[in-house]
Amino acid sequence: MSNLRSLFFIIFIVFAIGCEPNPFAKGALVYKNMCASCHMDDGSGLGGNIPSLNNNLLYKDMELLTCTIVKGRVNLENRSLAMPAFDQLTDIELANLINFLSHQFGDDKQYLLNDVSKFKSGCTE
Amino acid sequence: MKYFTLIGLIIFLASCKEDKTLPILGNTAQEDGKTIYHHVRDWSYLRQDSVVVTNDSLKPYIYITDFFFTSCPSICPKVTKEMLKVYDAYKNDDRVKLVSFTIDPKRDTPEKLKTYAANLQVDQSKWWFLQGEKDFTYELASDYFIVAFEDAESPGGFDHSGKIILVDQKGQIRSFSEGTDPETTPKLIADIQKLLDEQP
Repeated sequence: MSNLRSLFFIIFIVFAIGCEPNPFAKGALVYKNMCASCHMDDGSGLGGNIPSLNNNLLYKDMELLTCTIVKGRVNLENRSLAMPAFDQLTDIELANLINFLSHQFGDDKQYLLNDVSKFKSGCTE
Repeated sequence: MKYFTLIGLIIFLASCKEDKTLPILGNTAQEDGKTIYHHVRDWSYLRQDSVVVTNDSLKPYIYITDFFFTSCPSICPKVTKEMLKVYDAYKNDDRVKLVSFTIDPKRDTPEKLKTYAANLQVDQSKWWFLQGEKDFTYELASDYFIVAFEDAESPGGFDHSGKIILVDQKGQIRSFSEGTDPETTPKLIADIQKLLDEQP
């Protein structure tokens, strides 16, 4: 009986671990829909025209990263493309995206919704 | 009986041998008893170095081509990424050129195309970026079996297909890949070699 209990317990643990949702799935979906067509699925970008997201310096300044996504970029030095603004993203979508970017391409630091909302409110026109 | 089996086997193996010649794609017509194959119409465009080039300028070469615009927020970057793979595969082969036509000539000036090419860090004598008259470009695109047109509803204001086309010295279409599907690029790269192998 004791063995059976142990077996059920192990099955329960395996099941629980297996069912744990990927915390970055929603951010990955936003990335796929909004970013991957330019920055590529692997974040590698396109030469000097579209910057790589791998270990991009923007991860050192999350406010700048947030504002770049929300407001876009114009007149990037020595680049012929400007990034469009993704101001239609809700704060939750933005937080999911930023955490996915940080996890997938950056230093894997994670941010709370309040942090991201604060970064966003600091963006100037 | 053994001989018949052997001959049958040889015929079977011979018929299974891969055809080394690429087909000429598109409709054909008959003229004075001759078969006329589909080919691209004559064209004249401004290259990224502001030099006028024509289809005749490409006659010594086979070339890979696509239609794009630099501010494209949808499929173009992925297509260009695949063009880059083709470029890398044949960058040292002087018989091959790459040609990208802009479908947004108003914004994509030769100067802008030059910057775009420089940012890709490619040899600009090998990969040409061309600007020309907009409506003519849309008609020309159809010769390459590509759809391109202005559409305010589409991302960036233009709708177009992302095919990458292989063209021979006669302006005939010999193969293509889907620029948005990286899995089709290796076959295109192999087809370029097949076309090169056809050369006398």
